[in-house]
Amino acid sequence: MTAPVLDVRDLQVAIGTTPVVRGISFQLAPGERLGLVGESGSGKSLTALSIMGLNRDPIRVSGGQVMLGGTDLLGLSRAELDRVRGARISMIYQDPASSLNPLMTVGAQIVEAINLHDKVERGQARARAADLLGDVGVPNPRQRLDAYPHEFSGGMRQRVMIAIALACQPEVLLCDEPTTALDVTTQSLVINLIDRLCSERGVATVLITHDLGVAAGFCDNIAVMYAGQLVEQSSTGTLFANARHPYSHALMSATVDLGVDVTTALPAIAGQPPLPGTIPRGCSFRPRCPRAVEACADEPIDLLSLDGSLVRCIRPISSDPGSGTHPGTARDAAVDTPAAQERMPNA
Amino acid sequence: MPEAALLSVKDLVKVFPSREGKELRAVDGVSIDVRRGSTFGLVGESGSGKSTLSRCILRLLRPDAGTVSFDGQDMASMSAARVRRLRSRIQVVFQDPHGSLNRSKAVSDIVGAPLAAHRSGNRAARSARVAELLDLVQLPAAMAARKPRELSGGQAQRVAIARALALNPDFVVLDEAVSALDVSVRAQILNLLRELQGELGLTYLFISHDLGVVRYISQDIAVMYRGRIIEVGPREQLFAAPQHPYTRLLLDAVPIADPSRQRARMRLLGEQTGASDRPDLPDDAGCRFRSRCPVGADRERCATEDPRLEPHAAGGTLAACHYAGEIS
Repeated sequence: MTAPVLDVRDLQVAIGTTPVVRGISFQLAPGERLGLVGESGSGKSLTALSIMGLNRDPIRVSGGQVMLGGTDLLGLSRAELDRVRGARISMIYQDPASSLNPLMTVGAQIVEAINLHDKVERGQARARAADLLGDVGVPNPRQRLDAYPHEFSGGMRQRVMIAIALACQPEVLLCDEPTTALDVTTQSLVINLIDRLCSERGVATVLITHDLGVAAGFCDNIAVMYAGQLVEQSSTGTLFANARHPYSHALMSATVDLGVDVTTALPAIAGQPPLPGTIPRGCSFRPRCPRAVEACADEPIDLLSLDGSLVRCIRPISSDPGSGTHPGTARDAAVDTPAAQERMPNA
Repeated sequence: MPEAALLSVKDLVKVFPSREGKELRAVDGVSIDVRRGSTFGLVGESGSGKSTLSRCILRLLRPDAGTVSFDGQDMASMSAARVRRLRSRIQVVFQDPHGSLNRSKAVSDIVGAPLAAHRSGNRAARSARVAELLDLVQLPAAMAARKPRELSGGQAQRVAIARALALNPDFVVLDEAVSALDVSVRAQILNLLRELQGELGLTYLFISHDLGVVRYISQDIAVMYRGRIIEVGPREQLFAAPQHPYTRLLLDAVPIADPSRQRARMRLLGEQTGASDRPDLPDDAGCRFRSRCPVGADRERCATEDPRLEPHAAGGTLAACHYAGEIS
């Protein structure tokens, strides 16, 4: 493997003294797209904010390293970090409306991003900003430079955010639920755009999403998070064909897409994720897991290599070549039947 | 109004003033019939008018034209006292479970509030009814003493459902009721809603932007676009053979959890003109979808004649398109 552009090693994040991200490690190869998938509270957004050094009290990084090239971002001063953020690593957020400055024209905001890292002359910066705006698919980019964020639709605002994030040709782009606030027809366009721009520019991408369908179409590899840990990491094709961790499997089965059987109850996961500070001993998913045995409670479970994937489970789902490629065809063993959960009231 | 319809909306219009003295026709002549005991799904993107329509049905907004009939009676012509009685039969569950619960009250007070408001029974009877309701939504009795902030999203939504059921309604509007929930919890709540419908004979109006969820829970589905219903029909027909290009586009845009198929869909969609975040054309004589339409963008008739919602030979739905069916 070529040297990773981003190497996150045992990242730990706490709110006060309560651990919320509990030892996340992953590597991102140049040009790779990694999906970080999980439900709310799984720690996926905190992981991204911690990589960018954007945590605020009482949230703080309590351990680990974030290596960008040969530099540990966690060891940098504020001033040093400011030189890296936006230039070599940048981020786009869920809500474009609140991430743009409503009082500045979008042109001024793009020029600002360019000027922070490249000292170019005014007219040149403006020309580059117009090019960027055109690249992200904003019609009439030259005129639109002088427009304010409120004059753009939600999808167009997210395009402006992408232009700002890519203004200085970063090596790594973190996308935190970039299309969650957008309509479904706009969502697919914005994902297509990120896809094309990152390919053209060789930008490695981490896509944080709760939407397995979005991850399926975009990512080379996917890491599934649960209760502050990675529970499974694997190539996208392998994960969707044959998820090995009971949580990943159950999450796919519980997804209500256009292929679900409308005649029966959905294979829901009983219970709810543990709150930070109340994470059970042993496997965090154990109380909700239909495959759990006593040994699952004994000690922390390691992320182990299994047929080319990483899986944090001592009773992983077997590799089954007959299970088909779509989770819709494999809604089975790992999932609670509705009857079994009937009086599992805690969600 | 068909015999079996519990709720019937006819030619409903709701206009809001917008900037520069213009009008925004948020709901522009909508008619729907919700069959007793069934679920009617209303899908649309933001700004399509689906929530305005539901607020008109709930009488949270007063429609500018058209009628809403419940159980055969026009609600606009009813006396205030009658509307008040009727209100107990029509309930609503909103999207944000925490935002719609009073944070300072205990769960038992929240669920019991409609009983108190309608002076139903004495204290002991109300308390027994609250216990029954918590059991109905599969929450443990101990939850009664909790405050909303001590509840997870799924638990809070169960409380909101229990409150909606307190007065034994016939009809429940579910306005993006599962949209804020995580995948694993969403499936639980959808299962619960279906069980409750079976047990209590409820009729649902289910409003959502999520086609997968609407398809799962609804027998009849209407697709809204800029204040109009552009296609409506039984679930099977609508999904198997959508007649309107916008319905087709929506179906194509839903991500599916299958890597190779999803990649192919993304490529295809990138080439479609209709998947656009360009501003729409102003309301004029023509079809309001035509600026995004892959079928009628350049056709004379689409620019001059507003299509009516009507049956077409190719499918089992009603579609508002001059060239319905051409896309599929």
